[in-house]
Parts: sequence; structure tokens; C-alpha cells
Amino acid sequence: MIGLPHYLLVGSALFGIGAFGALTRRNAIAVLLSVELMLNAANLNFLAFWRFLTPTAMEPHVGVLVGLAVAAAEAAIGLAIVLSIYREFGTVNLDKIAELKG
Amino acid sequence: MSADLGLLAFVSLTVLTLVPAILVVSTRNLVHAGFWMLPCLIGVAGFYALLEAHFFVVVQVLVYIGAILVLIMFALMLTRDVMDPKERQTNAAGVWAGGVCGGGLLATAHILFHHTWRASSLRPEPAHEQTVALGTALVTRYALPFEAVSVLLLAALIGAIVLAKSLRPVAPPPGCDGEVRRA
Amino acid sequence: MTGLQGSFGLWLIVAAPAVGAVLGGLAACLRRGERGVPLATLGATALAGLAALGNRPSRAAGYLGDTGVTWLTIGDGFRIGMGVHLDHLAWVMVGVVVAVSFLVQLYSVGYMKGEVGYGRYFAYLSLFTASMLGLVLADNLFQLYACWELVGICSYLLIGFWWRKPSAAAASKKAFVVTRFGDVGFLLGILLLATAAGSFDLEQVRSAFWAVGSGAARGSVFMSNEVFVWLVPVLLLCGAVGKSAQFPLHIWLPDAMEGPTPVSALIHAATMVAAGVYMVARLMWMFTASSVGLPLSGAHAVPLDVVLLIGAATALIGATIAVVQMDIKKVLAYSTISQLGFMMMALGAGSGSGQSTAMFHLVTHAFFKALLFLAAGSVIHALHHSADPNDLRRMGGLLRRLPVTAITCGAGVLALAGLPPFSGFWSKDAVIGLLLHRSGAQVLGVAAETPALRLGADPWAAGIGAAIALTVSVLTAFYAFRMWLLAFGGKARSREAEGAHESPIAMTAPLIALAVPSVLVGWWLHHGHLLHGYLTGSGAGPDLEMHAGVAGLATALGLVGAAGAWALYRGGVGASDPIERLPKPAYALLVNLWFVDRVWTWVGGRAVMVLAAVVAWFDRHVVDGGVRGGAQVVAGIGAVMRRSSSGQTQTYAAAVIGGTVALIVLLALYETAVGPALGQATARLTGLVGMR
Repeated sequence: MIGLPHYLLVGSALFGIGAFGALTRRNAIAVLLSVELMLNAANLNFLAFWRFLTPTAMEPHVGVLVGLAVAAAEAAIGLAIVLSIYREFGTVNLDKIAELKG
Repeated sequence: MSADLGLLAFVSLTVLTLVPAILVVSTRNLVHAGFWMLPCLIGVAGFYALLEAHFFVVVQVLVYIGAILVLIMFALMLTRDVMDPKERQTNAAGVWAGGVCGGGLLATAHILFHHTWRASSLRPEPAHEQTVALGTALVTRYALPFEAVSVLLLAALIGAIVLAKSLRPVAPPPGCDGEVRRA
Repeated sequence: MTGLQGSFGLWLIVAAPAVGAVLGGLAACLRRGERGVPLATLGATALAGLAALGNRPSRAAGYLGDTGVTWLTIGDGFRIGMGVHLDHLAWVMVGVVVAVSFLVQLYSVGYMKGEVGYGRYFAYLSLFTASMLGLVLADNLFQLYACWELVGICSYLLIGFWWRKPSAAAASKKAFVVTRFGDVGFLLGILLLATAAGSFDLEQVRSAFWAVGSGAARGSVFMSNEVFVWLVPVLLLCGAVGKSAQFPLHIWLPDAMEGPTPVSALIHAATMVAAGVYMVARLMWMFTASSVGLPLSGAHAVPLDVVLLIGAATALIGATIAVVQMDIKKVLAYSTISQLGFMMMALGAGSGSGQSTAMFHLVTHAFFKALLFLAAGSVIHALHHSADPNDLRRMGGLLRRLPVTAITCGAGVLALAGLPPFSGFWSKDAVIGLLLHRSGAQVLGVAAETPALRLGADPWAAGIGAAIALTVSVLTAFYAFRMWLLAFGGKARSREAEGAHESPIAMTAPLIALAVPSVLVGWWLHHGHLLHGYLTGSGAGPDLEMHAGVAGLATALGLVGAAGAWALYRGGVGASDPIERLPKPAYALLVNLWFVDRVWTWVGGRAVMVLAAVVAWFDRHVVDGGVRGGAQVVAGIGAVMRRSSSGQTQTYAAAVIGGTVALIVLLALYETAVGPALGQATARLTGLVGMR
């Protein structure tokens, strides 16, 4: 009844919402949150494919685990970068950080 | 009956995931955005349960909610006064980005539902065996990716420390005119 | 003498003065031997005269000619070159030019003595003589036009001889520009003719014109044959209007008096201004084509009407303005304008007789007007210490002091006034008689129209011309006597006039030499039927005999004018000129030169400003706009392209995601088209992944 496409659709919807947030939010930390959403969506997709196409394999699990680790590392580094940005520009408003404008 | 239950579970989980997600990207108050992340992540964990990836249900809760979200919440709370809450949260490209993402979603949906998926009739192993198999795979066959991820985490650790360290002024050594700042 | 006959002699007529000009020019440039220059130029002119005498085409012969040198040939036999064509008309003109030129140069030896640029002056005069002869002897339209412009240049150089004087420089410019203005139409006419004929040669042009007139050939792609037949003569007339100072392009001639007086005598009385009359006379066959009844022509003789009416207007304007002038040279200048109008009227009146009548008047006018100018020059020379030697108010009582000048001038005045038996009487009466005859007026014993005279202007135009000619006769006598009385009669009115003495022999000799033909040439040419018979080659007199009625009326009118002048100016002039007592509007009109100058200035200024505004708009908006538009297009594209480099991270992220979404959309489209293939690929992938 509920098949692969449905899960994939949910994953895609979550990814789209995350993408929208990443593109439109002004605060840098809000962008980080959106990126986390996108990574979650990716993991969801991965596991959906695993369940319906190769439920007995372990490889997808390794992939998901790697993705999870990457998400965590990215969250930490992202926050450190936000701190640097704040030190340099005095603001975390992404609209105001446009040194490469031209 | 079980099909109905399954459908009900799926639909409610979808709502539990997507609605807070929308709120995360649209709410004006950043701390609220962080809080709305919580039900979203729990919903994803629920999806994992439906998909019988039991290991990841726990890992999702422990790592994502317990570590990552907590970290982000800390950051949000510590920088609460940095941004003016009255400012608009969405930048100028809001409509356009919404259109692009919406369009992408529609296109994806079209692909997904017009494709004939050959679903496997196999069933996944029970939870305990999954975990054992995963653990075994990680230290035998997939030891390299495992170690690579470790290195990645190490690099992230060092990088975060370096980036976050404040620069303090240091007395210049004799013979040097300018100010020296050491990390 | 025999050595001068034949081709060599023909070319010598033009070449001798040209060589004289070159020698004089060299002497002037090298500043050596300037005092010998007049000798060279006088000799050259004399040589030209001898050559002309030796090459006189006999009455029966057609013409003497030499095709001469070809300068270049364009395409299919279109030849541009120089040639000599000496027919009867040209020979008469050559005689006038050479004679007057010689006498003026002789006179100038005395007049210009001690002047700076002495050599330059004679070189210019010789160049003018050569150019004028080249014009007269031209056998093709190109040479005619080239020499036409050359005499214009010489006029410019000579009017502006004292170019350091601002008024002289301005006058020379004005002369050149105004005549050039007329030359535009002239050139257009020439080009139309040459295109139709495929050649500049006068004979070929003539036959081509007749072909167009009879409908055998197409005249021009720009107009129908009917238009061609009257438009081309009118265009050619434009040149004559400019060069011969006809209304409305007469404005340059009074200003040309800034030049030395001998120059005025030669160029602006006798020869150059007569070039227009000569040209129309030469091309008379073109003007009368319409009235010959060519199939394509209309009922009216448009070109001849135009010629006659322009001449009439010119005659009237010239005479009326001369009446109020106080500058002796200006009186003569306006008188020249008026008399040229007379010549044009004669040309307009009729073809065979019109041509010979006009040439008759041209010849007599050349002699007595040159005489008058040289006499005026003598007076000016005598009064050269005065603040304004030309001013009639400062003259007076010169009869006793300059007897030779006064008497010869008197002869000229009598000729100008047209009183018998002086030359002007015969020629002017011929013109008046012709006009009356053509107008169809059966008065004064004028005979009915003969068939040969049907080649003329419309009777109504001739009637207007006749009325104006009679009026002008009165005025001419009036202003001529006025001038003489003010200059020579009464008591001396200034210190310079009291101390004046007669001019040297170098100046008085030409005066006497010119006085003789002023008295005799009219009678001589008339009674021997010499001119008309010679010009038409028939040996007969003009169809129109001199009528006693016309002669009597004209003489009476002349005497009326003279009497009026005598009454008003017998004792000289006081503080105010009696002529100022004319009704205010009339006097204002005359003193302001009929406002023609003002109108031209306004038109020229306006026209130029309008044209300048149009061109400026074009330059600013089209030319500049194009350049600016190009730059703006580039800037606009740049502005659009610049938005992709906003410096904001999210812009670049948006680009990435946008690109990905585009790929997805493409994939969606692809999916619907090739679904099964994709499914196979997916199965292969899962098979790969499914290995354990």
C-alpha cells in the first residue's frame, strides 16, 4: 500500500523544505538548521531505498552511518564558522555579508 | 486492519515531520525554530521505525536529537541578542526560491510515481541481527570507510577548535614593530 | 600677320594674356622687375588683339575653330577638353574685351603708380583677360563653366586687391559667394544638358536639345521632356543672373566698387558682367526652342518671359537707386545694373534681332561705361587727399580744373543718357523699339510683327518691358546729368576740389581713346548694318528699322530727365540733396536699396539656422544616440550580469540548487519518454548492490 515512492516523496518534500530554508533565511544559524533538514531527508531516502530494494544488505546502513557522522561534523564546523563570521563582520545577517559583490 | 494502521501511521508521521519542518524554516524567532526541529527529527525517527531500520531509530534520537540539536540549541541561546527579532527572516529571493523548490518537488513526484519500481519481496532481519551484522561489517569489510569517518571527525574537531579560538594580543618580541596576535 | 592666322593665331588669343599673367605673377612673387610687368601684359594683350584681327571669320563663313586638347575622356566618348570656337558673336566680344582691357591697363599704369602690389595687379588683370577670352572662345560647356569661375576668381582677387581693408575683403567675398550662388543653377543646367547630349561640345549639345524638343530623345530620367525644354534654359539663366548682376543677385556689384577704379571699369562694366548676356546670346537657340513650336513645348515662351521680366525688374531697380546715390562709383554701379537689365530685356524680346540688339547695346555700353568709370577714377585720383574722394558732395567746380576728364566724361554721360548722335542713343532706341514691336503696340509708327520675330517673349511681358524701358530712360538721363553736374559743375565745395589738377597723360589718353567710340560707334554700327548683318551672317539690317517716332519719344524723355537734373543741381548741392524731398516711403525704399540686401541676409541667416538645427538634431540624436546607445546596451547587459555576483553565499547556493532542479525537471521529461530503459538501468544497479 505505502510503497517506495511515498517514502521517497516524503524525503523529497523534507529536502525541498530544507533547501528553501537554506536559500532564504537571513540568519546563518537558521541556514545551518535547514541544512540539517536536508541531510535528514537524504538519510531517509537512503533507508527507504534499502528497505524496498535490498532489505537484506548492510551496505546502505554503512552509508547512512557515514552520512550521520558527516552531518554532525558539519554542524560543529558550521557553528565555528558562524562565530568567525561574527567576529569579522559584526553580524550574522547573510544579506550584509557580501564582500565578493561586483 | 493492519494496512489501515500502517496508512494511519504513515500519514501522521508525515504530518509530524513536515509541518514542524515548515515552521523551522519560516518562524521569526530563532529559538522557536530550534525547538520545532525536535518533533521533526522525532518524526524522522518514526519513519525509520516504519522502515524497520531499528538501529537508526535509536541512533537518530541519540545523535541527532541528543547531540546535534542540543549543540545548535546552545548556539541559538547564546546568540539570542545578536539579531534583531523584528527583522524579516526571509531574504529577497524568497518567492523565487519557493518556486524553484516547489517545482523541483513536483518534478520529482512525477518521476517517482511514473516509474515502475521492482520492490524486493524479501524482508529485513530482526533488529538484533541487523545491529550485529552492521557492527561486524564496520570492522571487517567496511573498516576503511569507518576509519575514514574517524579521520573526518578528527579534522572537524580540530577545525572547530581552531576556528573558535579567540585571538589575543601578545607582546611583540624584541626587534619587531607591529602588533603580534597569537591564536 | 599671316603668321597669326590659323590655329596658332586662334590659340594665341587666349594664350598670350595667360603667359603675361604668369610672367607678372612671377615678377610679383620674386619682387623683381615689377615696373616692367605692365609692359609685358600690355604687349600680350596687344598680341591677342592682333591675332584676333588676323582671324576674323568672314561674313559668309561659319566659324573658325580648333578642337584643341582633350584633358580626359570618360567612358564612352565623354570628352572634357579645351577648344577654340571663333564665330561672329565671339569675334565681336573678343574685340570689346581686348580693346577695353588694353585701355584699362594703359590707364592703370598711371592710376596704380606707386601702389604696393603693382606687379600683382597687372598679373591679375592679364589673368582676367585670358579667362574672359577663354570663356568667349569656349567650344564646350565645360570650358565655358571653368572660365566662368575663373573670371569670378579674378574678380574676387581684384575687388579684394586692398585686402587689408575690411570692407574690401568683405566685398570680394560677397561678390564671389553671390555669383557662386547663381552658378549652382548654372551647373545643374550644364550637367542636365551634358547628360542628355553625352558630351559637353556645344554643337552636340545643340542637336541633342533639338532632339529632346522634338520628342526624338529622352532628356533626363528626372523629368519629362516638356519640363526639360523650359527648365534647362531657366537653370542656365541662374548663372547669368548671378554674373550679370540681375535682380535678385545684383547685390554684389555696388559693393564691388571697393576695388580699384580701373578694375570696376574693366570687369564690372564692360566685360565680366557682360559674360551673362554673352552666354544667353550664345545659347539663344535654347531659349527660343519653346517658341519655335516644337511638339513638346507649351504655348508660352517661358524662358524668354523670365529673361525679359528679370531684365525689366533689374533695369528699374538699378535706375531708381542710382538716383539717390552720393558716391560717384555707386551711381555708376547701379547704372551698370540698370543697363544690363536693358540688355536682358532685349534678349528676351526676340531671337535674331534680340541677340544683335543686345550685343549692340553691350558694345556701346562697354565703351561709354568704361569711359565713365575711368573718368570717375581720374576725379578720385585728383581728390585722393580727401577723406572720401568718391563723395559727390565734396566735388564741384572741376570743369575748370580737370578739363579733359570733364569733357570726356560729358561724352560718356550723353551716351549713357541716350541722346543723339551719341552711341547710346542708337543702341538704346533699338532695344526700346524692339520691345514696343514685340508687345504688339501699333504706336509711334512701329511696324507689325514679321514672322522672323515670332521667336520671342509673350506680348504682355514685352509691353511691361517697354513701359519700364521708357521710364528708365528718363531716370537714366536724370541721374547721369546729376552726377556730372555735381562732380564738375558749380563751385568747388571742398578744399581738395579747389586744389585738384588734371591727371597725367597715361590716364587721360585712354579717356580720349574711349570717348571716340562713345560718340561714333553707335552711328557706325547702325548705319552700316554692320552688327546685325555680321552676327546673322545675312548682311542685312535688322528686321526692325529705326522708327522716327520711337527715336523722337526716347530723345524727348532723355531731355526731360536732363532738364530735371539741370534744374535741381545746376548750382551744385547744399546741405541736403533735393532728391530727399521725394515722398517718404519712396525715398526710404531707394535709400535702403529696395531692401534686397536685408531680405537676403534674413533668408540666408534663417535658412542656415534651420538647416543647422536639423543637422544638429540629427547629430545629437541619431549619430550621438547611436554611439551612446551602443554603450548603454553594453552597460545594461553588464548590469544584468552583475546580479549573479552578489557576494552573498545564498545566491550561489540558489544557483546550484536551481541547476539541480532544472536537471530533475529534464529528467522528469526524460522519464516519461524513456521509462522502461530507466527501469532496466535501475534493476542492473540493484543487482550490483545486491551482492553480498
